[in-house]
Amino acid sequence: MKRLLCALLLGAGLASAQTSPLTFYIHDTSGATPDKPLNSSYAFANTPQGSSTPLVIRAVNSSASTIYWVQAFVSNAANSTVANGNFSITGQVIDQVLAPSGSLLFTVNFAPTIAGATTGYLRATYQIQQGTCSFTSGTNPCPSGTTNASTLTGTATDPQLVLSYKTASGSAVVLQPASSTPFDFGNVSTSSSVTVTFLLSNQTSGALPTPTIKLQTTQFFSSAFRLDVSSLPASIVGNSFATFTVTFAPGQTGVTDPSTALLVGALSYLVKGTGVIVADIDALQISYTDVTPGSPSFGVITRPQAATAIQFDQLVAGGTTSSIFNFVVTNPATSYNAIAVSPLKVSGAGFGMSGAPAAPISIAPGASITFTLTFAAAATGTYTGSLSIGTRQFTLQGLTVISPFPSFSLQLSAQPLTSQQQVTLTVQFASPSAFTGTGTLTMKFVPSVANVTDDPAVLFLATNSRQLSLELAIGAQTATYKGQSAIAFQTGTTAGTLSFTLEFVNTAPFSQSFTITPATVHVTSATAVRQSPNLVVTINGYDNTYSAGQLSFTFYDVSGKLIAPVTVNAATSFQQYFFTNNSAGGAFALQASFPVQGDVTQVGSVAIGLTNSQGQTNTTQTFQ
Amino acid sequence: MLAATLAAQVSAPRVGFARFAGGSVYAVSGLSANLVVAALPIAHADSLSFSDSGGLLAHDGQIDLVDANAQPVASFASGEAAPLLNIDGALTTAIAWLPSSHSLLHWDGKKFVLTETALTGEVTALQLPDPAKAHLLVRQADASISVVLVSLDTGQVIDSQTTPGLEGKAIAQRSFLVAANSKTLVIESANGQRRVLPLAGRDLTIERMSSDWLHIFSASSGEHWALHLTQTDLQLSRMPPAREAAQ
Repeated sequence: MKRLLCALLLGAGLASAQTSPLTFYIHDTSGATPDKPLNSSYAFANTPQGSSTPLVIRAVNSSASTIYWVQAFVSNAANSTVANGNFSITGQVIDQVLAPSGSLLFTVNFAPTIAGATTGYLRATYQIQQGTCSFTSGTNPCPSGTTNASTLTGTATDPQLVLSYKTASGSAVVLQPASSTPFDFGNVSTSSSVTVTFLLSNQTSGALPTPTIKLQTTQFFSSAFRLDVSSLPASIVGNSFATFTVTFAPGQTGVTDPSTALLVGALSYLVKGTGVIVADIDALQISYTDVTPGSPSFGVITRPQAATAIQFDQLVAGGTTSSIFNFVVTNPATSYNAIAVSPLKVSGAGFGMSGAPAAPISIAPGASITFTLTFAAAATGTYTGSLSIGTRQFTLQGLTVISPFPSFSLQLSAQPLTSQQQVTLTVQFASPSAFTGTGTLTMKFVPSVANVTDDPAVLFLATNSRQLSLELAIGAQTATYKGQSAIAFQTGTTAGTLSFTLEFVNTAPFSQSFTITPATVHVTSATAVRQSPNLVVTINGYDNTYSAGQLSFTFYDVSGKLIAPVTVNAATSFQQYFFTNNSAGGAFALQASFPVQGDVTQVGSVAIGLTNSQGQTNTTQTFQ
Repeated sequence: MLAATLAAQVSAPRVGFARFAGGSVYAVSGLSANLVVAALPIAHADSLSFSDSGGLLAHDGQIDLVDANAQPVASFASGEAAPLLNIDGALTTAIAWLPSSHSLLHWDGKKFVLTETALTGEVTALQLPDPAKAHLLVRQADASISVVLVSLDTGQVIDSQTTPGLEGKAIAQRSFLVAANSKTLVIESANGQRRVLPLAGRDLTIERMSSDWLHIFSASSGEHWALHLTQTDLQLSRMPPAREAAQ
């Protein structure tokens, strides 16, 4: 309005005969029909008192000059600037520059307060760029004008449902829908709240269904308002009323989001409130960041409002993961005093706090404290708790669900597992799945051999890795990888524990472990070759204990007569191999060479013994 | 008689070299059912064959002879897009079939020697059992497999025998014939005994990884197998793909 007055007072007036630079259209927000020109007169549908009928208008700068849109208003006379109380304008961005062909939208609402027919005049005030004039300068202002867009008529019928609120004295004050002036909850301490009772009156003699009532808030932001419609009936009997409440409980200082509105059926009532500082603790700025691994809100920072519960990520009951929120509480640098926070605590089953500073807690101006809240629960359901930061109170809420998938098990093609095996694993569901799903199958290997951390041969054969993405189809009872139910893996050549973990969305991770026990040395192949003047014995195999050391070779001549036993302590060679840059786990290739004095062709065979911590393995080879 | 023993030498069991998607060649170590593919490739090749003593690598029309550590020994510019390679013993067992020129190329210990032939049919495998003769497996038009002996002096066919009952792609491994068709892997020993392994794949390729190991793979499914085949051992294992190829 200030801008309007400035324009009227400072702007050079335009000749009344000058053509308006603005053209007005009726706009269909659904996009189903194109804009239609707004005629010089427009009749609203009959509208009950206490209700409203909207008309969305597009104003287009149809001139060749830039204009400055001051505002539109509905007056009670064609040449008046006095507002007509039966009409309102909402959704209007005032004081806006419109380039040629530029446009803006606003809504004219017929919201009659009196019975009978009424007439209003939709008018718009603007400035237009001419020469070197300025829209904002007082010394060379651009010419201004007010154009009459259309004459609006409407008839108010008898009221039906009328919304009012109770004042402190108990009297009811009727609220007009679609008003550009929000209902104001006033200034409320961030440690406090105000609750207003609204009355929805049925002004007719018959029962009317109770309209849907909800709060319109900005998506993804915490709302400072809380609606309670628990006392509303399904219908309101004639000449009676029902009540509901709206509570303004700010958790942050400042004015609430201007788009916040109370929606009663199709009618909208803007509401606002202002969080203020009464006590020192009210100044604390509180925010949290969702750091739950895999959360869709991971990294999102929220400034909580006391009216809205702090909602933790939905979890699977009994799962191994928690929902984790990192909090920061800051005393603004503009504060005069350090603020004592007592108590700082969380309550409620499933909720926990960690990382908070030790009591007594005092936050100096410009300083912050941090702590972490977690939520996890073993049983399904909705969990409620509370966070107290001194007198600042926040409700906490967590939800745990059960898996949408049937129970499943891991089935191996061979058990018990031993080293040097290729085995297939099948994820078997107890019944056909009603949903499609994607799961992650992970294998982990923990060697039981001291100072050994892994075995590179333990892996899924399809991917040469330890993780697979599995698919579950509707109706299927096995999960698949690239269409295959049997998922092959290698067990390696190291004793230890092989664990599989399967995770499906909204399903508790399932883990199963299998032990690969320590064993004697396993020989997979051996050769004995005469390479005069040497005898060469080669052995391939594995020692899953990494403890092989003592070797025995007993040579026999071609007639089977004992020639000589030879003992070799190869512990150093084995230890150096197993524990230095190991790339093959417990698998090894051993070559022993024996110089011979005499005719090597007389040596016929060798009995070989290999000893590790689990005992001795024997094999006999004939010389080639 | 036995003077003494040297200290035992222990190392990772060596399987050989295998070619994966994109032609990257990786060292493979381990045992049957316990195979480990090296993290990084050592070369790129369009085809390969390795023995315990060395290998042949074909790439971009060139054939490289390498030693057991994959270090270059000699090269030959064949201009051949898809030569068939084999080496199953010493470097002097290295031989290649150049299908576009119907020629045999072999390493005589000092240089590559080219021999033109008049062979018909699709050569699926070859060996150089002695310096004068090449041993070829030829798939005929009716899918049967013939064993053909070719003189490296004249390029003439010395002998040709059809192997009844074997079809598809075949390779000679020691005294065995290994043939892969779309349903099975057939291993036939010198005495005619056959062992059939279920190994379905419509586009199986067999390449020699080392003297005792064959690499069998399907380019379409990305599946790999390793066959350990000696006089005393026959083990077929799944082999993981190279990590790069598995991405």
